[in-house]
Amino acid sequence: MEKQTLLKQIWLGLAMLACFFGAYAQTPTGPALAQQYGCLNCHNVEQKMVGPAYKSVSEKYQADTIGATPLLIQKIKNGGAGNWGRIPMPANPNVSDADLKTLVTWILSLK
Amino acid sequence: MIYKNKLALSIAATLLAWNSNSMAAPWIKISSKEIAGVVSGPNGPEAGAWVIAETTDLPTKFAKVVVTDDQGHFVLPQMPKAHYQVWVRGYGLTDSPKVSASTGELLDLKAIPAPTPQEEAKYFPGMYWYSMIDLPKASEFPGTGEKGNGIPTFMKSQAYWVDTMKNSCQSCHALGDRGIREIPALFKAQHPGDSFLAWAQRTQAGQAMGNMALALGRLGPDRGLEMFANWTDRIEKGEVPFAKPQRPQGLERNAVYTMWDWSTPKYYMHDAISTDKRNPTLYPNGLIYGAPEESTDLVPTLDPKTHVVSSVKMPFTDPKTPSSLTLPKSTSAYWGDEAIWDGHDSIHNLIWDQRGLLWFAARNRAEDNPEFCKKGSEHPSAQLVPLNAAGRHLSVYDPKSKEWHLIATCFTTQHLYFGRDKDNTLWTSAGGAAAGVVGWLNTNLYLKTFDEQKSQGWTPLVIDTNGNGKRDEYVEANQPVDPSKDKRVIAGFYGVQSSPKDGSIWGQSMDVGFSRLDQPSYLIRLMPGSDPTHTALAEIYQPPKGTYGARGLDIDSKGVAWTALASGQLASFDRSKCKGPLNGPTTAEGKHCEEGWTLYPLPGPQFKNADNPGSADGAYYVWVDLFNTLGLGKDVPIASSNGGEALIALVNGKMVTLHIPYPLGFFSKNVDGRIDNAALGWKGKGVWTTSGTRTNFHSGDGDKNSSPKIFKVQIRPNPLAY
Repeated sequence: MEKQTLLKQIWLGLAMLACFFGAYAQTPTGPALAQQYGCLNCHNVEQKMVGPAYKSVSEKYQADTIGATPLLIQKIKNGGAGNWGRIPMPANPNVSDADLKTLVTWILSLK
Repeated sequence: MIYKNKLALSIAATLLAWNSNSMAAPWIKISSKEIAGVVSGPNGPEAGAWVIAETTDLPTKFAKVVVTDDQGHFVLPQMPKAHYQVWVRGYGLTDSPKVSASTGELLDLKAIPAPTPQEEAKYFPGMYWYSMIDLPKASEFPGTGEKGNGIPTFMKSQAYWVDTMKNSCQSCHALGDRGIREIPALFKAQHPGDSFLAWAQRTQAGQAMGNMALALGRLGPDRGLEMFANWTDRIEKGEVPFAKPQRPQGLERNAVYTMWDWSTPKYYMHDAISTDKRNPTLYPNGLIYGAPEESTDLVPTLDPKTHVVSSVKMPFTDPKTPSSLTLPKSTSAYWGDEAIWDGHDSIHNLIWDQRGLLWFAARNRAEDNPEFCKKGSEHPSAQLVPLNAAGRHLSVYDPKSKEWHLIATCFTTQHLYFGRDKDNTLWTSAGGAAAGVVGWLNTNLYLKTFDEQKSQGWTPLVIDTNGNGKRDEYVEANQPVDPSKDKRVIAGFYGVQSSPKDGSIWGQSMDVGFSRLDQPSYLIRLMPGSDPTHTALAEIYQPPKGTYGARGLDIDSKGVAWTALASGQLASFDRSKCKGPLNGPTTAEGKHCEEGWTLYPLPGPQFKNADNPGSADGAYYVWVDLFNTLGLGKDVPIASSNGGEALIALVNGKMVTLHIPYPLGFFSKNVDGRIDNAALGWKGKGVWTTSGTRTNFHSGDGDKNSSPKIFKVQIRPNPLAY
């Protein structure tokens, strides 16, 4: 009986681990999302392309990354113009809120 | 308004100048299968003008175009019975009013001189317009970056810039056609008086915005947009091209262009196929199939005998296969916010084999490769070069059984051609130069076993830099030459073709404008050896000094390679002319056989401030007519001229420009020739091609209801043969 309980506990533990790692593996990273949503067509981490380099964006908002997060989320979602030259950034209404947050957190983490 | 009145007056005056019943005495006896006639203008017969006949009576819209001879005579041959609208188009003219005609009729058509330079230039091929673009001067390169002249530092010369315009922008649409040289009202309204921002907006329109952004980023977006805005501002103010095209001459007047609508206005085509390049007598009069790339999974077909168009749906099995519907996009001036492309299969190219099977370079799954492609696999090619991702793969379709087989290649595919070996090996190109490998499928083995793992292989491109004549251990591309080893080159095939002469496989690797790698284009000769993964040896050849940007490839029956250069030439490379060694350390960079190259400048003007001679024209691909399917001779190379809106054939050292004038903005990516019935001479054969632009709606003749077209081109013995 004890053996069965132990086995059950082991199986349960393994299942939980699988769930954890499964979920972890499925959580897309910032770079993966940037690729998936086509952000990298216009942006590069290191240098300006059509849009500013992500490192430049990060540098600009380093003083207040917490305050910058909702601002940048709105910029990605609704588009914008004027902060980085004249070329407007198109709206990206298809990016989910969770993915927006991941993307912005990643961009602001770049040094 | 003034312009419209002027045009109307001109037409009226011209028409009054002739008696409308002035039909000349019949100079030709035609049957019920032709329409013939004469075209005359105010000064007499109009030579070298096009006569266009179009009908909607058939199952799909059909049109035919011929050229007038020295006396202004024309014959439209092999016409299906129908009622046609017929009109005259030509350089120096504006379109004549359309007249109704039926097969068997003789017509007296009036050519209308263009009332203004702007009206005249409406009919010029795109390069006459885009050669007006003010390129950054050669002295502005290398770029000094964002805080300097706005040109990125990786843009090292004017050639990089031109190669980007031709091989990125012009890869997908004709730069100078009306839809490009005029800014749509929507974008003008969004940014009144600011053409820079209007251009910024238009380059974000539709599902190709990602591609356009990549190209703009390479040019330096502000500098690039300023250049384009300046160009279209000048055109809007009335500036016209500084050069004028010449009317068709000589052999060019013998051409017959036949065209059918296929697919739908929302979709576009990349290529079409009619037969097996190795034996163009196969599948006579059979269906023509198309490749709609990112736009749809529906492969269009045309039955040229019945004029019936249809489609076959290519499947994909992996639910994670990406869809064009998820591509980022902004509002299109033509389609609003509708996502018009819904393809998953990314059907780039297709080719017939000798068994009646149709092979496609197409996507059938998500990019992540199966385990057998990756590190740790027992697959011999994966053990040498593991591959983690492939964006496009192979599919094969049996039109008789309607069965599909989807083949998960580890290597990505772009173009595909058969070898001339006992295994019927299907050799593929990868497209991007960064691919670093060449992949193939042993189709005999695959069809016998359906074992996709055992049937495929790939090899890195390894140059015999130690000169011992065999493949050895090699240093990587970024390492210096080691006298005891061979050396790898990181390149990938874009064009691919097997040599009819010696079993070698040739490829062509793209220059910086397409590859976005700081390395030149190459022609690459690969000798597969007995076990290609481990024995294939590559030789690379750079285009000669002062030229750049090889694109497209074919090999003639003598083993000479042909390509088109973005510097504005058609080029041949004859390896047998090389004087120095073809292996060893001096061959590592591909600079060792300039004497093998011969250049043939493409017709048309060069950009005014280009720092090299040549032409503003560029060609997407080159195809060699091994079997004289067109009628201009065996081994004639044919360039798909995107600036000239033509197929350009090199005949006895002279360029023959087969400009297809209708619909405006002809943009082809390759051709394919078939002999339906050799006994019928020119009537029993021809080359096939399709609208290769992604933007059929940009044509000066059309709107968003314009479908892609499939074209057949034939050459008669004279302009009036029927």
